Amino acid sequence: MEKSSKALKAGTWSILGLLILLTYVPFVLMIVISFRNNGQIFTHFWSLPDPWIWRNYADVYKEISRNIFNSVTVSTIATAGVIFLSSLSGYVFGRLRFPGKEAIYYLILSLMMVPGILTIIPLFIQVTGYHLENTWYALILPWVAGGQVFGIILCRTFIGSLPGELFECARMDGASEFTSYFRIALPLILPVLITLAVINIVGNYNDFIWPLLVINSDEKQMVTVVLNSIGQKSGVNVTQYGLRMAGYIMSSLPLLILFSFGMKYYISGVTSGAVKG
Amino acid sequence: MIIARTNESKPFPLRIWTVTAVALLIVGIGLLVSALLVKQQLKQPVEWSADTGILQSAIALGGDQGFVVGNKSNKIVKMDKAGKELWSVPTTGTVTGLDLSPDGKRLAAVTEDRKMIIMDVETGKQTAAWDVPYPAVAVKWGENGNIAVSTGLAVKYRVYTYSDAGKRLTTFNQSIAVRALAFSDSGDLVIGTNASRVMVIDAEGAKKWEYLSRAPIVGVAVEGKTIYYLDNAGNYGALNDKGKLLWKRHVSGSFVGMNLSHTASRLVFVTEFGGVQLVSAKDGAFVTKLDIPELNKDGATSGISIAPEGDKVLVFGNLAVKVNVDAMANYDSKSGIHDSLTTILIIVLVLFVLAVVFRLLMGNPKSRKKTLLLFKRIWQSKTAYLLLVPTVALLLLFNYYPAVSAFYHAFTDWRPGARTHFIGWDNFKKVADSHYFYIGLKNLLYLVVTHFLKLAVPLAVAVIVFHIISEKVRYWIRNLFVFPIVMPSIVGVLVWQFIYDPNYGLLNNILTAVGLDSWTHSWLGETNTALTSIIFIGIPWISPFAFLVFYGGLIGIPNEIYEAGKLDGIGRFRRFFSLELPLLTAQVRLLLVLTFIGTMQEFNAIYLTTAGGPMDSTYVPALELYYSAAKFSDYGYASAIGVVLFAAILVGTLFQMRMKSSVEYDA
Repeated sequence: MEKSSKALKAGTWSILGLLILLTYVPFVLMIVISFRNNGQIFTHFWSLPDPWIWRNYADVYKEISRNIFNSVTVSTIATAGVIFLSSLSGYVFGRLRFPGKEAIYYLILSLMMVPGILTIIPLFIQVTGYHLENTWYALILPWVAGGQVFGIILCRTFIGSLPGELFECARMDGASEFTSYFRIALPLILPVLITLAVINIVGNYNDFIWPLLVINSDEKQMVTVVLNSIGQKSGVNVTQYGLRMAGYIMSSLPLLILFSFGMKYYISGVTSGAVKG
Repeated sequence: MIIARTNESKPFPLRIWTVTAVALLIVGIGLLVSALLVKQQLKQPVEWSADTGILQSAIALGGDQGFVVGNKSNKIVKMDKAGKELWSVPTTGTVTGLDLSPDGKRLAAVTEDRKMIIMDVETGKQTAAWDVPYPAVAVKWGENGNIAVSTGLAVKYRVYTYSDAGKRLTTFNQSIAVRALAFSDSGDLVIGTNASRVMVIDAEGAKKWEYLSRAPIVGVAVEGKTIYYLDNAGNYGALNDKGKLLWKRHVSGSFVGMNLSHTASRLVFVTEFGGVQLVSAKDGAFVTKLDIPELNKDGATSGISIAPEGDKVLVFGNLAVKVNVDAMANYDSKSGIHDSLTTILIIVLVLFVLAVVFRLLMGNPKSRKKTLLLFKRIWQSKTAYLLLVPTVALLLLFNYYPAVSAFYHAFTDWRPGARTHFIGWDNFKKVADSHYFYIGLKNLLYLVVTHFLKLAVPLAVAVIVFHIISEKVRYWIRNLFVFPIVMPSIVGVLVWQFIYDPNYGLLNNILTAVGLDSWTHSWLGETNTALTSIIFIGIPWISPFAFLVFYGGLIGIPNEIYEAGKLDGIGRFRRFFSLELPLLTAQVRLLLVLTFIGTMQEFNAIYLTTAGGPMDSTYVPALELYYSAAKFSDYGYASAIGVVLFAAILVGTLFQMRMKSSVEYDA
């Protein structure tokens, strides 16, 4: 009994170890390859880079730093919009009573059932019709509109569960609705909002097909879309994997920074079931 | 007494509402009329299009007379605007060029087998014919009555001018083909050669001057003293009558023809693939463009001819399409006015209906009381509505509108800027007939099933990690499995693209290193390995999200249940199957649904790795949707695919929710 349990334990740990190892293969590969050129990869795949080609990073920085900046800026702006509108509407639905409230809420809720693939083409024609193609508005407006659906549901749940007395007291002290939203509700659901922000930024940062459709100049493009054409500007048609890997690592840095402080919010948000929707 | 007084003291001003309703109705009718008036002025750029099959040459006739074409089966055919044959005359060779006489009553046709035929437009009766020395390339009937023909073979190319009776007036020798011809007001002949030259030839057949552009000239036109040219590579410009360049510009594309609309003062270009572009004849500034991709269908090459009215052109290829140049230039602004009038009209009508309903509700004392109460409550909660305005506005504009638009346009032939025709179920029939769509569904089935199975790994890992006794170790290992989220999902796919690379990739290198050279493959490039390779992307498939959802579910299981299990002395496998798995039903269902929804829309990984290939081995419906929109501008068809996928997702999701809830446990 004791023996078999020990064997089981050892087995479990080795499986866990193997899984961790496999999970990190892409990371190790990315780092090791990013310091080489194609020749080194081809001839000495298993040895360490010799010499280490740091220039890959300098070159790829020149090429995609602009796009990384674009991605960070646009995702952040869109997320700020989502946070503001979600919390505001979440407050209205969670705290106020007015005719037609549930009807409007269900209209919003039902959008959870509308997949992106249905709306993507008409939306594309629509933003083209507004002459927004190839501008950041084409990304920000739909991202804010789409992101707030989940956010409103989340915020309504949390704001609705706050004790009503808090708001009663504020009202007696003469606080306006906006004041009690801003001064009472917002600080109390801040952790939820940070969670929402982290999830939303990651979502926007990872979006691919929408920027691919609506943005057509390299200068305004998001980093995810240009990753697949790294090195093609130089006119060489061979995929330079070292250069590309350096680019992949660089494009991961903003999320690394985000998660260095946002990881615990993300984890608590997902594990607490907030994301279940 | 008091009751009676309150009833009387507030006599509700019913008349005002009646007046309001009537006023709104009048405004509405006014708007409707003006919208209709604008609509009448709002000419669709495409006046008509006729399905003709591949055309070699075509010329537009004035007004509603239709057009004359030279088609592949050696015939000259006059058609009306519906494509119906009015008369047809056989020729001995392919008709390479057609042009109308200045009065529009006669037609000059030239053929590949060296014939020039003059015929009556009305009846198709031949009035004159003569031979030209070489196979003809193009013909132009000048205002002065002379006819220019460009001919040639091998290295001998000649441009002749004839009188309309067939008397040869001049001969001009070239060693390369001349595709573009025009007459100037003074009777000079302007030609554009395949050697990138624009030349002016006087009435004696002597060259006055030439101008060198950068690619074969496909069109020349004259307006007063100005000569316009366009070359194949999109260089265009204006020259004065001395050959001095006035301006030149460039637009990207591969062009096959140009015409000048005198009345609209625009140059009209047509591209190889059915694009029509307008630029200003004053300075060459870009005005607008219109894409008619069907022109290019079945490998037809487009061409262009100006209609006698001067503001219309006939563009042809696999179809003949009459385009109104003025309407094309004004379409954007006029349609904008029309759209906003329509919007206001709808608002006014809604207000009218509201006013009528309100008036009716107020007319009855019983409903009046209820209505007033409701309005009072609505008025009291005005802040709430006000605060919801931005959210609701954005959702209506960017979520509801496109969703409704998708359903509507799935039933139309949708080419924004050109046309929107209701075509019933045709797009759906096209989806049902599409080979690619079926292949896509079959591949989706594989992907959905494997993606479901892959969820077992994060589930198992979550259970193992959850039961690690040391809190510190558990914390770190949990974070180790979450950390990969910092890698953007696109990067994850691209790194795997490298792993599968046949020459540099990790997988083939491992196989070679362990002596299994024969097992190496071009993983993503071979039909029988591509889909499997895509499925194996991301092994061991521990998505941080799924892992955390399961982990959270485990945290949520009450400790007493574990205690009870321990007392019963169950092992970890029984604990998993009879305790944890049933209690994680909600999480499993959530992830199944999310995975299903995500997989049905699968695009990124496949677009980046194989783009659906090799052959169609990894094709998915989302790719078909993307290509039909981005490459073929077939937006109606793309919308129909979206609607079909939406229906599939909806049915699948509802099915999963029902199926699972029947075995749900209460924790």
